[in-house]
Amino acid sequence: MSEARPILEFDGVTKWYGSVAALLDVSFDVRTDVVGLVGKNGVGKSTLMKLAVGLLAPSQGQVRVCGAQAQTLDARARIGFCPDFDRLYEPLSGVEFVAWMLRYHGFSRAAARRRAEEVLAELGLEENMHRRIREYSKGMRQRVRLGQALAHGPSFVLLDEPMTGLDPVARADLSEHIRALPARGVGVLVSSHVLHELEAVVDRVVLVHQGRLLAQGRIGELRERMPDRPHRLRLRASELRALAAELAQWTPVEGVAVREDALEVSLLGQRDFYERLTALGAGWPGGLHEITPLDDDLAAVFGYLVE
Amino acid sequence: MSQALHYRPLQCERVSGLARLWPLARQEMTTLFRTRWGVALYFVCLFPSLGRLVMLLIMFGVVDFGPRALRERMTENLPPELDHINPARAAFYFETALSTMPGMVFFLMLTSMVVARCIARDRATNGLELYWTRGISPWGYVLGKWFGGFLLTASMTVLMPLLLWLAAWFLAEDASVLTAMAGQFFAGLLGLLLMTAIWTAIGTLISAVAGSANLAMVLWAMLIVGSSAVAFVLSRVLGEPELQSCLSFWDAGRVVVRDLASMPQRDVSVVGAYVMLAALVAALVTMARRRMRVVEALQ
Repeated sequence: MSEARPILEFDGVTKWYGSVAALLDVSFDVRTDVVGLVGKNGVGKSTLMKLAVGLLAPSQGQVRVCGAQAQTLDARARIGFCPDFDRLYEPLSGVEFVAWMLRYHGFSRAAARRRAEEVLAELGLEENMHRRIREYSKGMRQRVRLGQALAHGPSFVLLDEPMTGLDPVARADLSEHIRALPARGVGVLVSSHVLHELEAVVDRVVLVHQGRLLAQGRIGELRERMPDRPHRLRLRASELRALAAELAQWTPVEGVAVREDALEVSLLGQRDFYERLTALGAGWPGGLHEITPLDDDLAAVFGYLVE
Repeated sequence: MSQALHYRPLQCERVSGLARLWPLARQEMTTLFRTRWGVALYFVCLFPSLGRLVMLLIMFGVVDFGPRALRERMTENLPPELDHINPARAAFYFETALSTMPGMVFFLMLTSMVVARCIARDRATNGLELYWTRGISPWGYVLGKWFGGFLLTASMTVLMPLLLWLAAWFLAEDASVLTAMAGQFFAGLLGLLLMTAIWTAIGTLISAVAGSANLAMVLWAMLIVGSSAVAFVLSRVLGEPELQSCLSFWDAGRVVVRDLASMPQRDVSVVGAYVMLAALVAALVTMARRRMRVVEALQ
């Protein structure tokens, strides 16, 4: 899915605020995929996002959007920014707001209106797009925010906390929209504190900590790069003690703990473990009811890296 | 490239600076009319001009519902100190814009709701980032906001005197008196245009400096009313009437307009008025430049 040419490119970027370094030598790129930006508060995430959309200039290094410096007009025409605030222009209707934003991209009034209606309808606001924004729910506002970021056909979209305050249905809906963007040639950088939701949306992650790029890549790959961290998984089955005794003899198994109704298994490496487990499960009385990795998710990877 | 969202090619990606500013100015100009309260406020601010129109109708005998004695008195040759109620004098048409009451009061009502809030409101909602990412420069943004507020305010301070004058032209049996003062009137109108531009620029810059929309409104009101009050007291205490035009933001504007229209004025310092306004604009530009992080955003 992702193209060879980067859409957003950070090349050795350092940003100083006076004598304080907010970012140090950060390099990564976004292609036609969805990249998650993960980091605690105050580690340079906001600075990175502002650099990405040209709101700040790097002290060293370069930030490019489609090959152009992020702060140039050429780059900005290709950027869609979905901010994390939802207090938009309250007296306007959703369609008026998006159309107004489109005017800054050279759309005529009529064309902007048509395009705004089109985008908001795609985002599921067709029935409410003509109501005033002040009457909107959080989910509707979120759609308007996303609509204004997408309406002008950007190549790169930055979504800042897009899931905040949304109900589960709206979150699933929004995730679907975000997931569909790379197929339209759009590179997406998403920042969120809700890691499990971010995980469901992104292809790759960029982990930032104390101003530095801690790691980047697919979550599974990052997890595999930590051989000193045992993989933990939970197994539910009948005859737990017998299963624990069996597993304890396997080479990659570092430890087995019997919990109330499940086993918690620690593995050093996963090579052929799952094949053997599947074979074992096929002959086990009652079969295996559940196999759940406990620390292969983004939150666990991030936690390990930050430690 | 697009599927459901019908992505268009970016043929409109290069938009000139002016093309970016107009939607901003237009939005600012029309925001007031998006609520019933805003529309009501605007029409309330037009009351003084409507009052003047009624005076014209009475004076030119189009309607006859005023006391006859008053009408007769008003159509007599009035002394210079009553120029502000004499349709044959330019001061009559500028009274609604330049007087303390109603001019300053209605000006303050309108501008504190529109001009003083314009940038502070966007900052409070973090809306500024939306503009920056659309290639609008901080000064371009300030310019667009100012222009929108200026056009709206000018519809009260400049357009209304012009309409009154045109109304007088059509109502008067003998328009020669209006022709005779046309030069002075249009010079004053240009002065009003200039002063509206400066006043709204100051209001916009205060909005750029203030931390919140409400604070901006308070600062704006304090500047207009407070500077007039302080100037009034100081000029009386020190026995220097000219101080009024040097310290009062509103009076300085009035002096400049009258100066440009060659209208008679006493106990004023024209130079002091110009210096006061220039100093105020310069100070606010410096503060706004820092506050808007202009250098950072433009790099």
